[in-house]
Amino acid sequence: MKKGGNGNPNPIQGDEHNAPGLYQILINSKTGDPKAFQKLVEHYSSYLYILAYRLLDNPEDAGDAVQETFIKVWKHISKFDLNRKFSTWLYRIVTNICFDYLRSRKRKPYEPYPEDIPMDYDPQDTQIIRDRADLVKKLAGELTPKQKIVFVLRDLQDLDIKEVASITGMSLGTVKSNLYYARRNLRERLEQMDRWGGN
Amino acid sequence: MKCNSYKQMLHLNRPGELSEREQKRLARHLASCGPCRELQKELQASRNTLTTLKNIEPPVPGTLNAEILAAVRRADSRRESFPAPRFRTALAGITLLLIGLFLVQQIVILQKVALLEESMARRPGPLTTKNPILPMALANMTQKMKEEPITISRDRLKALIKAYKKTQKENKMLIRLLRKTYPGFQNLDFQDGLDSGEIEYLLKNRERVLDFIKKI
Repeated sequence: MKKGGNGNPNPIQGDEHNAPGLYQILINSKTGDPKAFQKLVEHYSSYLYILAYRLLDNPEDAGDAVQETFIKVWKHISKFDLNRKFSTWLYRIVTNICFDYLRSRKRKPYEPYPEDIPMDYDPQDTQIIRDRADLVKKLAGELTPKQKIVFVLRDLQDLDIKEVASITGMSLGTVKSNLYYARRNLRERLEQMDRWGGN
Repeated sequence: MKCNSYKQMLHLNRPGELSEREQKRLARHLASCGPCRELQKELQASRNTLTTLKNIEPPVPGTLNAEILAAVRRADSRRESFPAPRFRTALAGITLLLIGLFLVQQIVILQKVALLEESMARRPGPLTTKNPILPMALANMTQKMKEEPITISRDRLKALIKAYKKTQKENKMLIRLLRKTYPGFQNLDFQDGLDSGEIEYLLKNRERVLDFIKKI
């Protein structure tokens, strides 16, 4: 199972059919049970935060987006259809909120991740990899909002392409098209950077 | 087909991104096209960078959950039960109390209606001095009313009721019940009914009339 934030199993990949434990939590949350809702928050918050951070490149915006997401979830969970996949619904809400942030001019500037990220490489390699990853993240900020969302969901969150279509509400063709342009633009920009030796 | 047409396919060659047919077409093309094979290698290198990037996750703040729950509580003005179980208990208590008071009030009303119906059953018929309800009380007030059949016009009854309504809330309730329960009160139509002096007398003695209504 894929690992996610804080080293826990990724709940997004694990709730394919709203697993039994989750199912009961969802039922209780639908009736307005605050404790059940708190469990949902604890279960999903890290993953939503990581997604929001990757989309918005800023810890404050990411935190705000995740808070907005759970406020919406709390308000509308009573109407949630248990036959649907909960994580897709959750991802859809946070993605829509981030999409609005991405279109907004009030966005805060790009912030690289803090230096204390643990990485299993040699210190020298770690710095090279960190610089490279940082460059890609920075260049990803130049993509259009749609391209960036598709790129992050597919290539960084590692979601199935059909699920990306479901979350974004785009057709499969539109997802593929945005993914193609995102990857091509990133590659071309990286090549440019490498050619000119600067960021 | 020219190489440009395959570039998109080369960018979309992660599992699930190309159909089986597209994969076969691409494989056939790559077998015969050197530049596209070169591009494929470059894209593979880019993909490795992405894999590294995927494994680097931003640190999650330790206070994230607490901040989320606090934000939900703040925003939850509509469903106040979320943040405060104590408040929810108090709210439930108040609701039960109000329901209890309402039920007691309804029982009292039903008892009064039952008494009223019992009284009406004992004295059925039109509202006249021969078989009176209100005029019977009036008959006790004036000799004239004892001798001549009287009924009350709708307007005059309204005037009476208006006067009663000015007294107490309970009286209003009784009058309303009286009107609803006894059809004769709704169908009064007597042109030669009480004169202005009698009405005035009634209004002056409203307490006595009121006592009468309470008795029935």
